[in-house]
Amino acid sequence: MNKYEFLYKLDKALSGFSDQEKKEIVHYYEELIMDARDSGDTEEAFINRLGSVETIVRTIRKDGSFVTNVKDKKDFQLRKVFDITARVIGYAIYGFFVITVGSIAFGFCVSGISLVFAAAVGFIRDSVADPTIATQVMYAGGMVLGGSLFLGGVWCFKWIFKTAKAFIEKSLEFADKLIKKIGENK
Amino acid sequence: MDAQLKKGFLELLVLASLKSAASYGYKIIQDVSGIIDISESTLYPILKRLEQQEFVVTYTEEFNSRLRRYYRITPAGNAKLRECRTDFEETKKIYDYILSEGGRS
Repeated sequence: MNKYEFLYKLDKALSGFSDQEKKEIVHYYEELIMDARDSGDTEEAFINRLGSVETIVRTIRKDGSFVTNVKDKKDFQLRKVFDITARVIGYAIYGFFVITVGSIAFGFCVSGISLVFAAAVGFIRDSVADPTIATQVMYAGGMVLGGSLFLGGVWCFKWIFKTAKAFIEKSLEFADKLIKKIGENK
Repeated sequence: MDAQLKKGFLELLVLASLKSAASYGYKIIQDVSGIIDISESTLYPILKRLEQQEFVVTYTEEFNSRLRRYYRITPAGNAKLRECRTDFEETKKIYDYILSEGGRS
């Protein structure tokens, strides 16, 4: 990794820091690299010695005053507001989703059961009155179709609960991206 | 060394390395690393903290046709180092006790 690659990566990894802080930290490392080179180190070797960008950022972030600095920034307030908004919107979309898919699933279940029931009744009745293979196959088909409709409905319900968490998380992720965009435009 | 203890010492060591003359990031690490384990990414927050506490001031100067950031100790920083004298007496008493037979002296 050369100096530019390193500094670019560092800048990208410094999310959550103000633009001023980012600039200072990047300058600090740029100066270190150049001083290391002027003292006879090779650029590459020195950058390797610095360790991963992630570890560097973590070490800087760990410092107490930095955490408060970042938290005190308006971005933190904005983040909180966005977090709540994203949650509310997430739940609203999720609620709408549950009602829509839920009622479809409910319809599947109910019509499935009634179809099974109707086919069973018909099967029993016609097995005495009109015991041809054709009607028996038709009723058996009706029962299978009803059963699958019911199972389909149940599966829909299961799916709703499974997607619930993913839905909320996605909306939070989206809010995070939005905050970053706003931060960059400032 | 205990992390809390080291954190306190690092700050003082960096400050002490500026006693005789102003210095810059790379050189501070060179000077201090002989005494304590210090990395580039630990030094940055320390310098930042020293600056916030007004124990050091910074200025930039041209070197090799590029800008280099220098750190200079302030009177408050020197006073902080002088406090080490009394701290040392107290710390010594504490360590003497810790390392002694345990209160029987």
